[in-house]
Amino acid sequence: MLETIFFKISFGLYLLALVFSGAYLFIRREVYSRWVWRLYGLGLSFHLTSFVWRTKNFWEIAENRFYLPINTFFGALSYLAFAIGIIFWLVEGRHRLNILGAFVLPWSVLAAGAAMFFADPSLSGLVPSLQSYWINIHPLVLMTAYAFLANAFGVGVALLIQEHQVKSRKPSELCYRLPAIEELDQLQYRLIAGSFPILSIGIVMGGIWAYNAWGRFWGWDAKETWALITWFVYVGYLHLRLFSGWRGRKTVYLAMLGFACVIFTFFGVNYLSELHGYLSGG
Amino acid sequence: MSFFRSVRANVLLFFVLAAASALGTLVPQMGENPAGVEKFLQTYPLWGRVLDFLWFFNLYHSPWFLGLLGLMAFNIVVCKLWNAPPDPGLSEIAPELSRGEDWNFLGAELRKKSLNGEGFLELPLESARSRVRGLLLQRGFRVQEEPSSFGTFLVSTKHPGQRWGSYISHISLVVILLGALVKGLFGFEEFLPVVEGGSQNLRQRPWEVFVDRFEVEYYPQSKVPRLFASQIRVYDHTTRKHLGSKRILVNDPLALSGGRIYQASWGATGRFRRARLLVQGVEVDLEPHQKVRIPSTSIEVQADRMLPQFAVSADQRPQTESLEYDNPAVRFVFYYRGRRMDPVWLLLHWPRVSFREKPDGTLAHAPAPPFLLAALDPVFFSGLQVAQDPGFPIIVTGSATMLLGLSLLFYLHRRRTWCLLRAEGPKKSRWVLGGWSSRGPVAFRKEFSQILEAIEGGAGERLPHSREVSSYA
Repeated sequence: MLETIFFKISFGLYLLALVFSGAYLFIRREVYSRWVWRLYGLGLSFHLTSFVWRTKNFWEIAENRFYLPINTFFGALSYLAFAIGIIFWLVEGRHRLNILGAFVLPWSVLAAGAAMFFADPSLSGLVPSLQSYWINIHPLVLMTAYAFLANAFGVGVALLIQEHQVKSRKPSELCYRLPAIEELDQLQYRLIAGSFPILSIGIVMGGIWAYNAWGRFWGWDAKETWALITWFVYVGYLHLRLFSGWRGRKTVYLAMLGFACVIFTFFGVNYLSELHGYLSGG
Repeated sequence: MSFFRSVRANVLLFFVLAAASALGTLVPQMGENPAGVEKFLQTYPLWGRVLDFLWFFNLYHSPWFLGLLGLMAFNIVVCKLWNAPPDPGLSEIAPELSRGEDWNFLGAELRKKSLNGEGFLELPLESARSRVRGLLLQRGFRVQEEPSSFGTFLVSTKHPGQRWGSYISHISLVVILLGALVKGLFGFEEFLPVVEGGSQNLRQRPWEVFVDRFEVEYYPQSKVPRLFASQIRVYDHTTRKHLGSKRILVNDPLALSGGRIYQASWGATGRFRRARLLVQGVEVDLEPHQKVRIPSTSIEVQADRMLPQFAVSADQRPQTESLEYDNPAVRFVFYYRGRRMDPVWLLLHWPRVSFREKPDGTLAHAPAPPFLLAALDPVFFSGLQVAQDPGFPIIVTGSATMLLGLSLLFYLHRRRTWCLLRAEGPKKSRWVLGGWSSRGPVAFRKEFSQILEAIEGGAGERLPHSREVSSYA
């Protein structure tokens, strides 16, 4: 009960922060961007409290003890929303780009909203294959990488808008508020490069877990295959950017393709994969 | 050959592999969904034959897919190890700078860099050298002095380990593929369904596996299992030597020399040990095919058949939808004064539902019976996965080094500066500074500016054409 209340409060704060970041796009008041950061920080702390409370309740089922409650669609989406938010909060806190919230926060709000309105928040006991300490590591690591990549996607959208503004004859106010194209390009690269080892380690951990559970490191299950496809696309991005001099719009499109693969890996594949099908149900 | 040495070929291969992998998730695969393949072949006979010819139903083990993986390994080796270093920071002194010691040439080369600056210091050459060297050391740079005929040439580096990241991660990828090859050549996987209380021989090893006991427990008021486990014993059936025993659970296999035995699944065999019938408050326990008289009546009853997931087929006959123990039902035959009545199917989870089996084998709904199936003790089989993967340690080593490589590559920020210094009189020095960053000039811009400011530090002037920001490419 308390968990749900805290989660709803955090969602409300996220939504409010998103409204402020949207307002900042059109009304140039620096105070709005400061409020985005504060509100989001507050929302994150409520979200964390809700997660701690949920974990406490989850542990009341003996088989679940010491495992994190991310075995359900609700748990996974809730963690994803939190991870996207915390990465945004840290990046924004460090770089003070102000405008970034409008492009990154929708993903966090979307994930939290999907958890609240479309996922079943009830707690259930873990099936035997998930009763492993790897559940505390493998999905968490992968979703953290996904959260970085969602941030990178948001930055990419901002870059495309800025490029359009710069090329247009009558750039709007937005042009002066968005960071320079090369800064956005650099930030997107940093986010993708930073997430790539995390994505890789997440995939490898899944293989080690599969070896412990079924005796094989890799089984070409739909979920692990799509995680590999995502990895290939971002490998392509990194090679083209580092060695072929790709910058700006072309790399953004590639990063968008990579993020489409992330979304498919997270949502779509649940309907193809029996092993990872737990995400599509309770 | 030059094509395979190019980054373009590398990237193209990655995308082709990605597309092929995606295809394998959309077309049913023989290994995991043979029924799906069969259905596809029946529904689309022409396309089915074409796809079968192209190995699309066994895509990940097809010669062309394995060829692509081999090509990737080959490409990585030739691209990474035979190619010239791909970025200027890789050699100790960038090639263009190592060509000469002439001030004009080197100065011109440094001015071409995205980050550069130059100026004068009102200091003798030796003091200027100490000043620049000291401030670079203070900022964590490793400073090396190269011989020069004009004065001083300082080359400084920060986080030089980053340069190895690319090599380590690429070589690791080849190691991972080698591990997969070792598994393919020397490993095995075998699924072994063993009925509880029984044993089975493996095909790939001279092992006989006994399942003494199989247990499954469910969460309260749910069909979700909370535990399933098998008490197993393994013998070498040629020598009768005992190899090992353990109660295995999911995620906790029995490790033997030559393979590991995993608890993978379970299912109902369609057999049972005992069924309990409740007739007007009286419990009657029945073993299969055992005829028992119901106390204080002239009715005898016999339980002769069980289905684990009872369903009525399209032609109105009893059938099981799977081997899962989700909707068990038992067929009872009643005898009244020795005369056989039509059999009745009773469902364990649906006490108010029963079906009468007519002589032609079809089912008809029967009225709610005055008796019910109170309990059932089914015989399960334990699904054991036996596997050996000698490539696993190689894959894990490769993965660990790949992560080390990627971390070096992306989390370390390698920076280099080249500083030329020469005397412009007894108390004046001229300097030129160039900078390079593994993350591109934008990432180094701020620090480079601070270095430039620190060099001046009230002791000189900077020439106006200094450039600290790259043009956006």
